[in-house]
Amino acid sequence: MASFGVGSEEIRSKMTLYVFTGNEYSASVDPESLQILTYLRLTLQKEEENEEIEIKYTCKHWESPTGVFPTLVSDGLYYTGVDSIIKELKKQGLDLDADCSDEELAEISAYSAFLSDRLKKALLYLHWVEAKNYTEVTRGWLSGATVFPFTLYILSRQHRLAKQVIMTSSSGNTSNNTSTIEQCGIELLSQAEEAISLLAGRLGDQKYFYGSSLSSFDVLVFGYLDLIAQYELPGNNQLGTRLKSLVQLTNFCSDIREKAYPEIKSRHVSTSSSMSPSSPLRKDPTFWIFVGVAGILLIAQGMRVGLTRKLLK
Amino acid sequence: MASSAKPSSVANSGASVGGKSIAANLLDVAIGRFQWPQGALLYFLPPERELLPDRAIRLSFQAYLKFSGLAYEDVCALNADYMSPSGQSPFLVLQFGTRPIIFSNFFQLVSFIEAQKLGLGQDLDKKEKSEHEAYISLIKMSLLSAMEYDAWISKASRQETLSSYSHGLPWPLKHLVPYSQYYKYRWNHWGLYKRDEASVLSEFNDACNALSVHLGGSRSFYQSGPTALDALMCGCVEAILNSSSQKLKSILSSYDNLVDFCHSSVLSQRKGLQFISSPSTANLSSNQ
Repeated sequence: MASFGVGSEEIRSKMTLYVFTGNEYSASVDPESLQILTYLRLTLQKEEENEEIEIKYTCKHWESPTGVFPTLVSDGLYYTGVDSIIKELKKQGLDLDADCSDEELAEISAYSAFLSDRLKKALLYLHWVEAKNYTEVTRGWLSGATVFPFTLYILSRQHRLAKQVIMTSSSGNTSNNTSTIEQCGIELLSQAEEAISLLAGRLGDQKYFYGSSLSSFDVLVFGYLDLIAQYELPGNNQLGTRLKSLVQLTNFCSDIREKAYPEIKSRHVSTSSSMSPSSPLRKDPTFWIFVGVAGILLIAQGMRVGLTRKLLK
Repeated sequence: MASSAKPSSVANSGASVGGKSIAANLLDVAIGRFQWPQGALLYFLPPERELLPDRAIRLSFQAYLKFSGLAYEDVCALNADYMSPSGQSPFLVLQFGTRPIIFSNFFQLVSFIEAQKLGLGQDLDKKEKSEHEAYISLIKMSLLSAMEYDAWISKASRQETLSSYSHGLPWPLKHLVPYSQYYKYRWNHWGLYKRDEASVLSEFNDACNALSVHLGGSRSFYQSGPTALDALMCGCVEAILNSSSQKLKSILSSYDNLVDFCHSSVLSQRKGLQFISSPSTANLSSNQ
């Protein structure tokens, strides 16, 4: 169902895509950003060079025009959310579902909501709330992508937002006792586990969800499952264990990963991943700005207490 | 309608959804084969105070229980939202001896009843089951979100929401409670609050289109008969069509098969199902 052959004569407007940063094992560590990147990789695969879409990898939400990831800017308009970005990409001729029937498109729409309802919240809990995973894996993702004061700010913001989403989406109480967030997490994880089993049942023995050809359904599922398969979490790894037991789904993930990201290593990461190769710490100008500000403050403090004067004497 | 409920026992129950797991509670109260208890009570707010999403969920609860042939009684209570452990109306109370089990979430009730093999989805095959769950998520994420947006966030209907939410409350609560509820909602649904109306309506339209395609010209979503999806869809369509929300109503009305599905085919299967329009004051007083 892939429609790779986008005519060169077709005029496509200049687009900019803002996605959450990745590392050497994943193009992005945010499932929705990964879905859009994979969609682009699979639709643009046969084109020689794509100059119409500029992709900006960042973890600083203030660099995205809408403050959320992923965001697509096309013709001066902003598109957020996977469904609306894919809709816009289809308008621009990047259609992976060209051969899908209306019934299949309706099903894709339903599964998109299903994945976002069941797996997105569970991954938010596993990556941003579960204490051990958050400390040992998630913090490592950001430490390489940005510098010290921003790291703390972004981490705490994401942690707070994830907690808020989890607490409000839970079916039960929203009282602020300490055990509630764990209870919500357990509930979300069991729902996610059930969702993975249902997806395995839907995939059956097929290569992709609609037989042998790729569709946006495969991309949506891949975005979540690849992040579960790639990282062996040191804390709660309930979903990883469940996914491993489903061979057909694991093969499905490996197959799409090889197709979309042949250059990315496929391996499990059990501890903090190293910094993103695309954003080395020392090359970031903001790092040197902070070093300069810290130096000036140090000298100013020295002058205030008279240390510098004494040294000069 | 029953009027013998004990709000205190319900509100203070330790067997809420957010506390001990439902399965564990059930093991405590019912060993052996699960049987639907006598005297199940469905609490909800009076229609004047009931908001669009609450009404949709209440109608879905009623339709699902009716379709499943599970007996229950309606209890219209002015303080139903305060009696509910999650603060949400409607909620269902199942009495097992002295320990009630409370479901304040439609989706949790469905998964519980399906797990006990009392529900409607027993005849679905593997693929249909997974599809069924996906379409339920679509309604939850798009239709119910759009209704919540319309009730609490849309500037056009916010004032109406606040005034209906204050209905029946004494002074000064009628001025304080709606605003406190509004700010609480805004804080808890910041993501939805930041979205613009056009994108919410477009998502609502896409979801209606997908559901309309999936339903086609059939009388129910699956050949095997009505399921939780039919009940939920029926509740949502009924609530929107009888609401004052012109935008949602005009979008939904353009999908004739969804409207017909609610009005004709399902109506014939839910004979006796009463959609409460004007509750008697006797039912209100006993629960305040």
